[in-house]
Amino acid sequence: MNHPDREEWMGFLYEEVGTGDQLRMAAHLQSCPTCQRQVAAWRGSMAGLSQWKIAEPTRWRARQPWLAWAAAAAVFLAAGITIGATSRTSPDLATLRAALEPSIKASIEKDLQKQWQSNVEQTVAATREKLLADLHDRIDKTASQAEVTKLQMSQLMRAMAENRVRDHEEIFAAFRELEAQRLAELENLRTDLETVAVSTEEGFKKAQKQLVQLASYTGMP
Amino acid sequence: MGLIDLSSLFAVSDEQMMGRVRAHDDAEAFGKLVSKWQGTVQRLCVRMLGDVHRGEDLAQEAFVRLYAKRRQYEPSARFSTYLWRVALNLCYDELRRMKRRPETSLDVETADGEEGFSFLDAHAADDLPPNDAMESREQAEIVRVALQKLPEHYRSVVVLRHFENLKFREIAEVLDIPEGTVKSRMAEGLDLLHQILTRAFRAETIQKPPGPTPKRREILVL
Repeated sequence: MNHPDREEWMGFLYEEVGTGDQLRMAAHLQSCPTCQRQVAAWRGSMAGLSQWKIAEPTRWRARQPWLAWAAAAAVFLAAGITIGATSRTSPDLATLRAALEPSIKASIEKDLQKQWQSNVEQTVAATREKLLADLHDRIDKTASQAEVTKLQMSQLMRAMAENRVRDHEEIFAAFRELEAQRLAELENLRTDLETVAVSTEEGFKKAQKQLVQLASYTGMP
Repeated sequence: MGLIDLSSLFAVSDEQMMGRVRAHDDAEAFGKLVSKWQGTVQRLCVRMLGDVHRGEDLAQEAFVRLYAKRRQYEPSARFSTYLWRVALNLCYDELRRMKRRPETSLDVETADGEEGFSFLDAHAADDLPPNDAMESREQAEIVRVALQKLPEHYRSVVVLRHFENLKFREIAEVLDIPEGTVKSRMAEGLDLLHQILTRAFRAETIQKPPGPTPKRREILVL
């Protein structure tokens, strides 16, 4: 006996074969115990499956709110804005929020990451700018300090120069004083010498005279 | 030409709406697509994961993903195929995550089944008398657990064909495999499910004497 294969039987059981095939297979089934057992087992499974009825699934929101749903989904998925924004809209979005939670989370995480990254970048940029500004400041300060130093140096130099002049003047004065003293002393000495010389001459003359006198007294020849 | 034909002439197709979303970020078109497909995608996710809450969360994520990937949508492709792929890929990712955290996995069959009831539809059994309602829930729980035991490549085919009523050809397109492979996976999936369910219902029957109810017997006589 030529049995239909199981693929054909599936078409038969779910009524996906043409009328001719349906009749041919039904006739075969009537007369074939082997196929009867097999088809009965399949029909049993099908009947079992049909036992599992589930409720009319929860309608999320009828009609109009779906527009908000879709619009919100668009906003969420496209822009990834935060949950806070939706809480101000329709209460129907509570369901939506639950549904969108994973994508919202992912989106927020991405946003936070992006934000964090941009924060870091901003901080780095700000720090760099600050450091640069500080550096410039310092350079300026150093430069101005250098100016000050230069000024002070020149003042010092000037002061030193002035001091030097003053010192020289003092030294000259001292010298001049010393010179004057020396001259005065020389004068005194000359005077003294002249005095001495005069005195000496007078003394010599006196001594000569005394010697003459003495010689005359002694009768020396 | 009747009125219905006329109205369908002016109806905007899913592909056109997705085209608008892709090209102009059209929120209204996207809203319409979500409104039309959310239930379907939620069911797919719930069946694939075996968990209502996770399934619903994942379905919402699927639409978020769909919107995020709107530019990748090829206008020539069928919108539904694209959406199924997005949703299924999310399911596979989530199942992998669940496997990495076995403590939170729902594959584990609960000993008393009580916890499992929370995953089920309370309304599905509302129109039945209390005992039958309880039984219906128990059976649904067994099926839920059995389906989670199917390898993913069987489960996706079974869910898309049996629950979402996609044609084998469409499933082949979504999964990008030959139609023959889809059919053979379906047959193997049903075989495997038969074994699992037979074992599960037998164990259930043994645990709960005296005797199965007619409903349960109907399933046992497979």
